[in-house]
Amino acid sequence: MKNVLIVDDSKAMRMIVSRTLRQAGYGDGNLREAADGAEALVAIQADKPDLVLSDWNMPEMNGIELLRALRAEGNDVRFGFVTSESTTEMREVAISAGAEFLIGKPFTAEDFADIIGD
Amino acid sequence: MEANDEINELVGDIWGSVLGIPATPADSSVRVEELRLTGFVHIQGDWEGTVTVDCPVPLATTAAAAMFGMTVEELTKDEIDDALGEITNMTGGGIKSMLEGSCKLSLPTVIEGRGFTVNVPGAALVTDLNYSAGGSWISVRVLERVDETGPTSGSELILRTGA
Repeated sequence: MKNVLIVDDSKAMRMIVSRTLRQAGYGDGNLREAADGAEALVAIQADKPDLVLSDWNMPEMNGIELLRALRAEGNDVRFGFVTSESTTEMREVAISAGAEFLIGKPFTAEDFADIIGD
Repeated sequence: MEANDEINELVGDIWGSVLGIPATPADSSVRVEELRLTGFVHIQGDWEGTVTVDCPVPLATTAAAAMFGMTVEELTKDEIDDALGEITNMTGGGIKSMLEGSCKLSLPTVIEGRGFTVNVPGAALVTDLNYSAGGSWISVRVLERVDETGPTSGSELILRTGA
């Protein structure tokens, strides 16, 4: 996996996700960042990342709105949520909208490696 | 597992695993005279209320330094607020996941000051947990919205057990 887009309105959390990705062995590629869904949508169209790791709860465009917008335009990029809200209901909504996984905060590098895989 | 035990575990994971600052339950409470940061997130839906996370500014700064991988001298106030906001978001999100029914979490808000108390109109304090961390203290409070007939849930036993 070469390019990962990290989407979170918290700069602190983007840094933690980025650091955890490197600890999990995904540091070789480009790790890019976006601060909300709207910014991410533009970045995904331009950069075509291999994986999008998105927060759920964000201003402007939230994570599930971003995912639905991507799928509506036929973009099938790998998409996973990294969110503090990992309820069963949200997991079901995420999967039915086309997400591959949902990682709850707090998380570890082992969680990333196990869930994201290759 | 009791709800408070679950929150203790959650707070321990956030401060210990993510920040490398072990937090253990303590008997202390908010020291209002200290310069401190308070983070809020509101939960709306089948259960309605507010989760607050309080800690002194120096501890919030240490936490932000751990989050950003920077020294405390390099941090800006926005970065420190952002860090406590994210800690509050993780805490509120974890507590939300213990609730029955369907709920939504607000974006976090952070305020700074000394000598203030936190009141959420129409809400009653249902959980008040305190921790010792990094030679300092953390307070986590859960306030549940009440109406004329009582708590919105109709019961304080809304927290799932054994989740």
